[in-house]
Order: sequence, then structure tokens, then C-alpha cells
Amino acid sequence: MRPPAPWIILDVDLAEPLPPITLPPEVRGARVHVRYRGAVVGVFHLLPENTPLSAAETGVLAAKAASSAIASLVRLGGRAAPAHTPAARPWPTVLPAPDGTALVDRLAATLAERRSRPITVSASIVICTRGRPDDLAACLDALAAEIAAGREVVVVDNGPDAATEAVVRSRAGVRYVTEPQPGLSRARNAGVRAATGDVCVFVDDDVRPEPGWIEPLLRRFDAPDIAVVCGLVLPWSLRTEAEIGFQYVLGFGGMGLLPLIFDADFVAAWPRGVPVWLVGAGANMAVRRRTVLDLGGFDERIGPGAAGGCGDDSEYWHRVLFAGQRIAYEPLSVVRHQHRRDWPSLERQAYGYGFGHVVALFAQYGRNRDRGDLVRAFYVLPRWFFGRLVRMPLRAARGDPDRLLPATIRGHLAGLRFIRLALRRPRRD
Amino acid sequence: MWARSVTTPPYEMREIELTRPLEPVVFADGMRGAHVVLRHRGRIAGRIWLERAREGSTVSPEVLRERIAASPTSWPDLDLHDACRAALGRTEPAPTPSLTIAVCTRGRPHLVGRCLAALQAVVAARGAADRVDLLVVDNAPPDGETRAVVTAVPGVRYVVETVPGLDFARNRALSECTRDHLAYVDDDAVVDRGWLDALAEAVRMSPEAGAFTGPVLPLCLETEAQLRFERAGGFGEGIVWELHDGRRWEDRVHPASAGRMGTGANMVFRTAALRAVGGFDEALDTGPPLPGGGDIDSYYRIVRHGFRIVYHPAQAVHHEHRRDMAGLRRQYHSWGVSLMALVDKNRTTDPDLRAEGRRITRWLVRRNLRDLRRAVTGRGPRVPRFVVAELAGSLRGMFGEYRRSQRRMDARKKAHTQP
Repeated sequence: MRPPAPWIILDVDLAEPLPPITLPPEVRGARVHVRYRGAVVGVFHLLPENTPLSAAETGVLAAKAASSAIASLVRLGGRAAPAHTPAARPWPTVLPAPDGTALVDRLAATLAERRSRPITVSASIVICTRGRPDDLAACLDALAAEIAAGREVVVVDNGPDAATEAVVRSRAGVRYVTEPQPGLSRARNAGVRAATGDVCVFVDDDVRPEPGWIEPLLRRFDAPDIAVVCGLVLPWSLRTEAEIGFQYVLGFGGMGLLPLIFDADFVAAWPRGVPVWLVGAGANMAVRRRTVLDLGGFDERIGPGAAGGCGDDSEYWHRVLFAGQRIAYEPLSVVRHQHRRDWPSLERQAYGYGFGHVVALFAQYGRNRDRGDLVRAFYVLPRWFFGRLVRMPLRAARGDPDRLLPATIRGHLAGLRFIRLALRRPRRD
Repeated sequence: MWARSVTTPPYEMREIELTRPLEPVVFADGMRGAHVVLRHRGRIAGRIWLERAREGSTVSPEVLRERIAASPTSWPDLDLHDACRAALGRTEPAPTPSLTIAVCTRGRPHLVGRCLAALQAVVAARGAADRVDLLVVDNAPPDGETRAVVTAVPGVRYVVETVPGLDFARNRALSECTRDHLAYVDDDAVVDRGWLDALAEAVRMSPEAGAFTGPVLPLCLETEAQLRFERAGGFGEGIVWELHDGRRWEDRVHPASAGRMGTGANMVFRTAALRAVGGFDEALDTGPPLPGGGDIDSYYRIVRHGFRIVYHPAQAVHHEHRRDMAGLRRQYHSWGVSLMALVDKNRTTDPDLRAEGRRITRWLVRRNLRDLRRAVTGRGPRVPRFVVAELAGSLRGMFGEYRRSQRRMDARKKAHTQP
């Protein structure tokens, strides 16, 4: 069972002297990101009882948490693992190098090789925002280095409102574009049309990219059929129950620490609906502009601001995969996401996820006629909800109530009325 | 799937050094398989099983590589930790802690000599004879044979504890101990050659910890009972690195599941911490009918007092398991008794963790019912009578065995202290 809020997030880097860890007295839990030269290679958690830790003890826990991902990265040797197909789970063990090279040095060589690969595409940063000028300002601050280096940055105001415009106008080198019709998909499409780079890197206004997050994304556009690259999203803070619930109950950001490739094998491995949500998160996503335009853009009927909820990103990934193109997942690219801070927002988010998911399934079926999507909407998900419903009293009795399930189910039921998206193919504009 | 050959002895004991090129394994005549300990620069880092029925009489390096890659090993953890230490600028070897090593024994002189020889070898290898005492506590000796064996070994202290009961002997060792740390090694165990090095490393890393322990591996697998016991998980703590405290992340049975923290065959305490928790509970480990539990009870109290337990994968001992099936059946019975007796004891002494006690009870029953199902269908390493014995034992433990044992021990103590 997870401890109550507040938690703190710590970052330790195996390439630097590890710190002893002591938690402040009010903190009830800690999430520790283990890194090696910035690359995230493991995560572990601490309770107050598990501290204080000496530097060497931190080393034990960090080594334990990171050994499996490091071994896999070394074993992959720069290749990407085939994604989430049942046969594609690389076992963590590697053998020691015959010449006695330490594992960290082999990891360093792998990372150095991956970070030295050429970038062959130009990129524009696209920020879609709506009525959150403060968040937007913080986001633009985090991008200061990119703006200074002359990267094209396009802000799409889906409001639009004067405060947002003022934030953008106050920064030289940032373009301001408006999309008055509400809808994240519309805003994304407006951004894609306005941008000039080969690749659009989407940054949400509630996201803080870490320095150097963009190059790893761009390096993965190393073949013409790579249409999308997603990166790792880590929590910005876990101070409230809602933030913890978003991370651990809604399961946000569980995309893993290994580079992945999603291709025809991935599609073929899932007869009951292709789980495109495993690809990543729209909060850290880059798309090839040409392909977006060729495939008709993000579906403007779904997603936040249109039908509602989510699914604008995953429906596009689904379309990309069914068009025979590939998607890469690149954990060397890291952004931090500011989760919903209060519980009512999180419940709305859970509702939106239940809703957006089923709507996206209908839209996917409307385009690609993969019966698995309907099986998922009408059988797999309801059965899963039913199982969770049955266990709800038990979990409540154990002091671990399934608090977000009702909202998710309500969202799912409300989404069913969008069945019309499944019945006819969208008109091409 | 489950094959009969998995529990057909004898198995040979082998070792592979992972940093050297793999060589083919050729089974000796009559051997049905091999238990292979993996080492990384000499430190224990994992193990694999090889069965002749599956592999043939020779196992090629390619197959070995596959088997090793498919088994969890701790060498990456150890290697990464070395790198962390190097980053901290600390590469010098850890100093040997000030240590008393106690071997508590009763009427098994032939085992004591072997145990002491291995201990003296690891102490001599570090040149640490001045930092380490060896102590044999002879528990209610039936004859003078153990005394004869021990006094023939120079540099070993010999004391007699007249009250029969393993925890009387362990507490005697505690009262005799003048060093900072006190190690207990079973007389039927042999410490690994890296045992003291790993302990030194662990003590340097966690000077404030209350206890230090590690894996208990098989010394030999010559009989069906030994093989079945090890195949069923043995002492079952794995070759991994662990730091145990009073609570664990997302763990709803810890620390009532104290058996997962370590085993009495391989335990080292910071003497002050063991004294702070009051030593061993003499009502446990009393010889039949309640021969177990004092070790895990002490671990439980150590973490409940806020001390840490460090489990180092290379601080290993090799233990000679029960050779006969009847003895193993009695052992399972006594484990069932002692685990439930502990739950019973903690229900009154530590009411805050009653829920954890209930969960570990449910776990024990569920695990045994699962094993029973497997056993009667001929799959699984435990035969039905082992499972039944453990279940029967746990029933006895649940219903007052701890208090009965306490009364017996009071009587026994009185009988031995009166002139």
C-alpha cells in the first residue's frame, strides 16, 4: 500500500558521488529516480522508516533499482527493443565482459554512441495552450535555451485570450498562432500547419522539459517511415494525493526505461485491440510534419475540447501504425509533467480517460476496421471494470479504496454515445 | 514442466566464475544434475540448476550462457555498487569488524571440526586473527567428544551451556561476547570463502545496522531429502542485496514475514543491538517439539526496534540439509509450529502488527494448500506428507504452543539452576 501524501522526488546519478538520503520530517514517501549521466535507468521508493541512508546504502538501492535496465541497455547495445509483444521481453541478465570492463563503462559507451548519432531532421517546437498563461510562462522559461539557440517555437492559443498573447509577445523569437475553435486536435493541426521544420515537437503547457530533451527525440527520426517519437514523462511533484493518484492509479508515465520500436509486429501481436496507449504520452511527443499532413492531421472530432477526455494522440498513433509506419519510444528524452493537484481535477481526468479512450476506440474502428477495438470497447473493458467493481468493497475494507473507478466507468458509459464515429469513415477535407 | 529428474539425486556441486570464459560442464558418472553457484570476481552472484535428463551428459558453453542469461543474477548490482564506491573515492578494502563467531552445537562433534576449519580459513585469509574470536558453545553435552574436538583446535574458546535449548546457547554466546559484533554459524554449515569479506563490506556500509545476513546455499545434494528441500526453495532468501527496516514499500506482511529476512544458519548481530532487543527468546528453539523460530523472532524484534538488517548476497554459508525424508518431514512440521507460534506470540507482545500476522497466516495456509495440490498430482518438490506436516504444525502453533513452551522452559531453567 502506498503511503499518504506528501512525497518528494529525488534524483541520484550513478556517475556522480551518491548522496546520503534523509527525508524531511513531514514527508511520508520518496520516489527516487536513478540516473546515469542524465539517462534514467531506475526508480525506487522509500518510506521514512527506510532512512537515513548512508551514501553506500543509497548506492545499494540505486544499484538494485538500476541493474536490470542497465543490463538491458547494454545487451541491446544501441538497438531498440521490439515493443510490448509477448515474445519481446528481454531478460535483464548480461554476462560480464571478457576483458573485465565494468558494467557502468559499458553503459557509458552505449549511451555515448546513442548520443553521438546524427540528427537529420529540422524541428519546430509547438506548444498548444488554452487559458493557462502562468503555466505557459513557466514552460517557455524552461525552453529559454532552445529559443536562444534559434529553434522555431510556435505557441498555438486555443483560447485565445489577451493574457496568453501577452506572455508570448513578451518573448522574442516565439511565434503566436491562434486557433479559435476549441479542441486540442485542432490546435495541434494549426501548429503543424504553421511550423516549418521537418518535425513538430509538441510540448504541453503543463510540462517542463529537461535540458537536452529534444535531441534524443530527433535522433530517432533516422528512417523515413518513423512517423512519431515519444519520450519519457516523469512527475514534476508528488506533493498531493491527486498527484500521486495520477501517477500511480491512473498509471501515467509507465512507459519504461528502454528504447522501443512499435511496428507491424506490435500491431499483429494484439488481436483484441492494439494497445496504442503503450506508445507513450502526448505530453512528450514529436511527429513528422509531412506524415501528419498526408494522414489528414489529428482527428478534430475527438480529444480534449472536442468530444472530450483524451485520445487525440493515441488515435493518431493507431492511424500511423495501420498506415504501415513506425513509432519509436526514446527514454533519453525526459520531460516533467505537473500532474493535477486537487482531487476533483483528478476525478475529472479519470472520467476523461474513460471517456476519451472509448471514443478513440470508435474513431479507430471507423478508420481502420480493426474489430479488436470494438471487442475492447464492448467486452474487454467492461469485463475489467466489472472485476474491479466486484473487488471494490474488499479494497475499501483493506484501506486501499479504488476511488477513481466510478469516474472512469461513468466516462466509459458517456463515451458510448459516440458510437457514430465507428459507423462511418471520416470525410477527407 | 515438472520432471521427476528434478528431484532425483545425486546432484554435483559446481561453481562458475563469470569473468572467465565458459567451459563445458561434463557430469560425473552417476550424477543426475548439477547445482552451479555463479561467482563474479569470486563473490557469489547467483546460481543455476542443470539436469542431466534435459541437457545430456555434457553442457556446452553456448547452452550454459543461455541458462545463465535466463537466471536472475546479482553481479550487475555488485558491479554497479563497486562503481558507486569508486565514484565516492573509496576503493580500499573494508577493515575486518571486531567480531566473535559463535558456533552453537549439541552432540555433533564430526560437524564442528569442519565448521571451525572453514571459519579459521576465512579469518586467516584476511590476517584478522586479532580482530576475531572463535567460540564454541556446547549445549548440554551428552559426552566429552565435542570438547575433545574443539580443544584440539588452537585459538578456539570452548564453553558449556548446561540448560538444553538452542536459544539458551545463543544467549550464553551473547553474554560471553566482548566484541562489537557477534556472528552465529550453525555447526552443520560451512562459511563461503567470501563470507567475511562481504560481512566487512556490509559493516562498513551500515555501521548502525542491527544485523547482517546473507544466503544459505546447499553444501551437498546427495539425498532425495536434501534435493527436494533445496528445490522447494531451500532457506529461500535469494541471492540479492536487501536492506530491511521496520516497513517495506508496498509490503503488507512485512515484518511478520521475518523468515524472508534471513536464517539462523547465517546471522551476525551488532552486539549492542542484540542486547538492546533482549537477546533470543528462550521459549523458542527448544529442541523438539519446538525447534525453530528463535532466529526469525530476533530479526523481527531487531527491525521493530528500528535497527536495519543488511542482507548481502555474497555473505553466504553452505549448509548441509537434512539427509533423510523423515527428518525433513519433522523439520517442516517444526517450521509450521514455529511460524505460527511467532504470530501467536506477537499478537500479544506487538498488537500494532496483528493485521500483518493475520496476513502471514493466510499466506502460509494458501501456500501449503497450493503445494498440497501440486504434491498429490506429482508436481512440485514437496511430497504430500511434508505439506501435511507443515499444516499440522502450524495448527499446533496457532493453538497455544508458544505458551506451553514458555512453561516448559521455565521448568527446565529451574531444574538446571537448582543445585
